[in-house]
Amino acid sequence: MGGAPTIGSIFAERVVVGVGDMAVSNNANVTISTYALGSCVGVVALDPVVQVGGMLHIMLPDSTLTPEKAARQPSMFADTGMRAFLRALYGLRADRRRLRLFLAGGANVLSGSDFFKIGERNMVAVKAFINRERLSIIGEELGGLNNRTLHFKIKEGTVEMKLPTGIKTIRLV
Amino acid sequence: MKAEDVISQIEKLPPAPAVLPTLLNLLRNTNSDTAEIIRLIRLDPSLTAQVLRMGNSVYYAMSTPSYELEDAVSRIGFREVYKLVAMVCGQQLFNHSIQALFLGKGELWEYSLATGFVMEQMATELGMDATTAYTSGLLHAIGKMIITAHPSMDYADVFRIVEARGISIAQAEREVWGVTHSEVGAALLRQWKFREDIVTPIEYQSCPAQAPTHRKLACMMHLSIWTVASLGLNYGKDAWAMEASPYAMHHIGLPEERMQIFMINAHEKLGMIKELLVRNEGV
Repeated sequence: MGGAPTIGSIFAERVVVGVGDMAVSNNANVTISTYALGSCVGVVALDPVVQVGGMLHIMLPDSTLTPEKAARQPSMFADTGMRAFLRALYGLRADRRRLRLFLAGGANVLSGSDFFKIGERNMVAVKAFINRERLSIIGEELGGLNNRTLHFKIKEGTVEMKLPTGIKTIRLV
Repeated sequence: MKAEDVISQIEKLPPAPAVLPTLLNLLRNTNSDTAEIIRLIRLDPSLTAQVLRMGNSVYYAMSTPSYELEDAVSRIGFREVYKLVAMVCGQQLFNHSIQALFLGKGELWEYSLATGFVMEQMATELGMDATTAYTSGLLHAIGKMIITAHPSMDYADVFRIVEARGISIAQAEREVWGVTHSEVGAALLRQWKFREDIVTPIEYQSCPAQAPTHRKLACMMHLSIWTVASLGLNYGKDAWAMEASPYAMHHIGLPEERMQIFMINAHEKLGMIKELLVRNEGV
């Protein structure tokens, strides 16, 4: 029956990605959200051709801190998380050359030693991985003094970014 | 303005968690009688009910429900009961939305609780009194709440200069009001008869190197606040406008990797506690 609404279009699905977690989907009706990115970095990816999208919420830059935790929860760390995230996206037929990435988070304290600038170290680790894989970043909202919440609508290819003082919409297509 | 003046100008102060300082003293005294401890908690029937309700949650993994405080104390131990009492008191104090700080309902509470957990972990690692550290972490943000209840102190003035000049919230508070939320919180807790090992770390949370006493606890507080922020739990506007003190790291003497492990542990523990909070929503 042409024109009949599908169940998926009536009941849009919502997936919440926690700290150190990720989600990917090839269901265009899905909205993927993550809350309160502080020094953590959120990576949003979209392949607009096959309408595959995903979100990763990494917490720390380097999995060598605790390989056991990294084995159980790879998304916690930039290195293991990015690898697992791309593998999951490619598994849903996303193509590396078509992937459009958006990065957010990485808030930092005003001053202190490098150790305290964990947001910056997360950003550096994620970007180094992305550069090695020659992926395309089409936008970023990194650093600053505020936490960020993201809502990614795969079908529309938009990310709604919520700050304590307002909302900004980013288009990935 | 002095911290004591700020407090005297507030029309309606939050209710004092009167039971906490006394309970903490009893806990420290090895000769304390359990019956005395239970009698103290029972003075507040709603507190008793909430403690039992939380104590019966999956978090404490009791095989059968407990309906009496004596039973709860014997099963999970007095220290855990104390933590439950502190958690209930903290929830009563902090579970509101605070528009002036752009904080939604429950956000200050979650942040305070997480800081308590990190303080507790750090104290255990350093061989210090974990219960005192936990209480201090739980109450460390009370000054923010007091200031937002003041008739003429407006956080908008603080945010304005934080953003214009890129300075910390603590520095901006001092410039605008001549006093910080840490000092206001400490003054109130002193009025409420909390001990100095709880109050001083709160007063010096943003400048631990200046703490005249209990400097180690002040450094732990400083690092705990940063750890909790790294988990994204420091909600509200300009929440990252803080100066991190390398002195605190050196003074504590824990390697950087341990701090990151604390972060992971706090995240995991909060996951369990959130389950508890959801189940007890409305408590």
